[in-house]
Amino acid sequence: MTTDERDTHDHGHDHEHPGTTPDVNEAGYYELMAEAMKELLIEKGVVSADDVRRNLEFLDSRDPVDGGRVIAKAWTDPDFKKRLLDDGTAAIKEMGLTMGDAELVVVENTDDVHNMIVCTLCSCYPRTLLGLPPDWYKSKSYRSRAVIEPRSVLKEFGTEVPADKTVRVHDSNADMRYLVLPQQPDGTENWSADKLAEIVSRDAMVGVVLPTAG
Amino acid sequence: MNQRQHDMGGMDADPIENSAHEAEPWAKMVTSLAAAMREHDIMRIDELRRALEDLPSKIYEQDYFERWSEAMVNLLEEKGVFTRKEVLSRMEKIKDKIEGGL
Repeated sequence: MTTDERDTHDHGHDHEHPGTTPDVNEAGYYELMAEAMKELLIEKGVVSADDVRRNLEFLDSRDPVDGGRVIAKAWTDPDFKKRLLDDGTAAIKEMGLTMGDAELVVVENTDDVHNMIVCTLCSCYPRTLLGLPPDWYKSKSYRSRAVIEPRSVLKEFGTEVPADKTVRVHDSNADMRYLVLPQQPDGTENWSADKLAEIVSRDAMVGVVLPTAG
Repeated sequence: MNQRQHDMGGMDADPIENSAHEAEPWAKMVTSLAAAMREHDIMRIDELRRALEDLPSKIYEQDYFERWSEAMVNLLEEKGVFTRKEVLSRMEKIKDKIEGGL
C-alpha cells in the first residue's frame, strides 16, 4: 500500500488519521506519551499501578543468563535435553521459567545443521528467557535478509558456516518463539552447568554466533 | 504482488548494524503497559501487531518503541479505552508540570 492510498482511505470512523502526531521528533515526545498512557490507563481502572510495577520488575529481571542456564542444563543432562527438544515450554517450567502466553521451540545445532532465528514480520523473540531483543534483531536489515542470505548475515556477525553444513532459518511469530541449542564447545566437557551457562551468549541462542570456551 | 510494509522477509536491505543499546525507561514502560493489558485481556499481542502493520509508513519506519506507542494509542482508541486527543492533552499537562517544576 502506498502512502497516497493511506492518505485517502476510510476507516469508517471519524477521528484523526491514525498514527499522525505533530512534531514526532521533538525531544521527549514519546516519554510524555508513555507517561500519559500510563496515567490514563490507571485512572480509568484498565490496569492498576501495581500491575504496571510488577510487569516492569519482571521485565527488568529478565536476563540472557536464564536462557544460558537452559542451554547448560541441556548440555549436562541428556534427559532434560530430550524433554527440551520435545516440548520446550514444559521443560523450562521445570526450571521455574515461563514463556508467558507463547510456546517455546528449541532447535538443536549439530555437525550437519546450523540454526538461526528471526522474526521477519515483527520482533517475536523468547524475551522471557533472553530479555528484550537487541536493536539489530528488530532492524529492517536483519528481518529482510536473514531468510534470503543467511550466510552473508552470519558473516557480518563473524560467523562462517562451512559450505557443506545446512543453515536453517526459523521465522518466529507471536505464538511460537524459537531458541537455538548451540553445540557445546570443545574443551568444556568437565565444566559445571553454572560455568557453562556463563559462556552461552544471547547471540549464540539466536544462532548468529557460536559459543566458545574462552 | 506487493508485500505489505511489515512483511520484510527476502527484501533487499543494508548490512546489519550490530548495535546494543539498552531500552530507555519510557520504552520499558510502554512494554510493561502492553504486558499488563495482555494480562487483563484488554489488548492481545496479535491485535497490537495488526495495529503496527496498519501504521502509515512514515510512522512504521520510526524507532521501534515509538512505533509501538503509536500503534497502542490507535488500538486503544479503536477499543474505546481512551482517545488520541485525551493522550495528547495529557501529554501537554505532564509537560507543563515538568516545566513548572524546574
